Amino acid sequence: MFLIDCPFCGSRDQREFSCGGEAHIARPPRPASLSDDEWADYLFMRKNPKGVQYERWMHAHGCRRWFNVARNTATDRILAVYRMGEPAPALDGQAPPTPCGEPAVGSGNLALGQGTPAAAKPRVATRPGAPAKPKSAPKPRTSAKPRATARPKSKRPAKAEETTS
Amino acid sequence: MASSRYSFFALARNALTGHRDWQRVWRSPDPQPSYDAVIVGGGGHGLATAYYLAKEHGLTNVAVLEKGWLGGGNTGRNTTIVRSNYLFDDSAHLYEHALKLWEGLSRELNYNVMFSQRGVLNLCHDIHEARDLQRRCHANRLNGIDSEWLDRDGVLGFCPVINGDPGIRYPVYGGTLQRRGGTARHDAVAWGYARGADARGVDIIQNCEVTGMIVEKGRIKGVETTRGTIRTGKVGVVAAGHSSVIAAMAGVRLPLESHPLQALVSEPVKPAIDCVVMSNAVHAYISQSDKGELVIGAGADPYVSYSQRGGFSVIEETLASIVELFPIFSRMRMLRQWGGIVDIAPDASAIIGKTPVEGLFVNCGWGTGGFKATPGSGHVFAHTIATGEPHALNAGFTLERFASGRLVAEHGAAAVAH
Repeated sequence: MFLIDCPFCGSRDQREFSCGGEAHIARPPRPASLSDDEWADYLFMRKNPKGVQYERWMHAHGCRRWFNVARNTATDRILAVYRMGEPAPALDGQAPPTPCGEPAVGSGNLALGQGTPAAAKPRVATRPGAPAKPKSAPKPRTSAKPRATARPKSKRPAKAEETTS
Repeated sequence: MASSRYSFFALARNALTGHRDWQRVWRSPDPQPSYDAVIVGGGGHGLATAYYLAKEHGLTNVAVLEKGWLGGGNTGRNTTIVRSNYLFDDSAHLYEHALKLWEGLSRELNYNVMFSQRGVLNLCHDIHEARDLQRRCHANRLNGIDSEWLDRDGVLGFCPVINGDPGIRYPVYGGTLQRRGGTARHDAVAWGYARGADARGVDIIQNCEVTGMIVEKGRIKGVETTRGTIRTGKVGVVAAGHSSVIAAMAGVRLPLESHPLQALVSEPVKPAIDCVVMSNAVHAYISQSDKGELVIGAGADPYVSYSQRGGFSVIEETLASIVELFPIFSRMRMLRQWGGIVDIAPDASAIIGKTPVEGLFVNCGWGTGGFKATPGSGHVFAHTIATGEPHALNAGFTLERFASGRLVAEHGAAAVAH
């Protein structure tokens, strides 16, 4: 539940809008030459990110016009609203954190309060002119090097929710 | 290691010592540097997978990695309905397989999962919907699944608290009944499978989040976690709403979108409704827990979100539907509400099988209705991981179906709107 800033009508409740899903999926220029796998990718595969998603919305109970929204799916915070046909704004900085201020990945066992309010503020710089970098799926990790996360390796004992009943 | 067996005598013996000597139900081991197989996700499906890997396939050098606590995701965030009355053969066989396992589960696990076959009633409100339900009813019976058609009087006779007033906006026309359907205790399912898997040597590692996948030459070699690197040749991803996030770590794209699905419970009251009632058109479902709370659910929120909370508008619509169907509940107060993140596939069916990365298997896409499949899902996924090939029952639920076009289109056919 959140408010959406319709570029034509202003700020309204989300229930007035219908969501059109991931934006910037271009129809293949030569559909006839596509393989089955390429068709499947175009029709069905989605990025479904936990973090910034570029998506389409339509003001169904208002102006009935389509526009694009950049929203953090971990927090439902809207980061940018831009019109159809405009390139996706490049959102700089780290992926905005989850509601408690945790990073989107690797936060499962952060100690309580480790996500500071400062970290919770999404560092976003909207550069409307900048062309959107095509967001490719993350490359498979090919080394065993540990991921560089800011948090120390947890040494605290696993406090499991064990039950004795 | 093995937990002591639960029985009346064990209860009596422990009662004598004031219940202070019960053993821990599962261990809390530190992760080993390597395993034969790693299951990502310690919900019902993941734990069931580990249990059947150990029991049916003798694969006990297995770890279940859970970023939070066992059953803290959708296993603890659903409306606990169990049924198998799906339209298409693939789904019907898979869910019926699960239902048969449910029927013997408490005895098999020596853990009371409180499976209660109280009957699941699917309502319809006009003649067109009635034809759909009757078609599904016939399809179920051809597949050996119990299903019966009830006319309006039959529905009101079976569940008298339903509003039979012909003057309401969507008067009840009839319904189908699956008497073998019902509910189960969701937490107990996770705990029971965890106990069974642990007793067979599976390491259940909580507070251990996967942060990366190690892929070399198109083959899975291990996982990076918040508790160190774990080498393994087989990884089963059973991460529900976070399946896309985990798969992306290995460069695999999935046809999933993650949505919040909300449910809520009321204050506990005396027994009022002794079955499960679902309605597609009015769109709500309800049952009463053994504690007396009404357990209510409905549709998913219409946008992608990982926030584990949904919009109030969905709750409002759900409760409006419930009050229309059950005016008796109009003054009930709601106690708790929660949102789980469900991974919905384009055809509203699960994806259980291999991925382009060798050794990496996914069990996802259960969308809004995965709880009922927990035992069957774990059973066939364990077979898939152990043998490298799908079980006959999940052969139709591959990731490749999105390229081949052989979809299992259960949207709307699955007896509940999504």
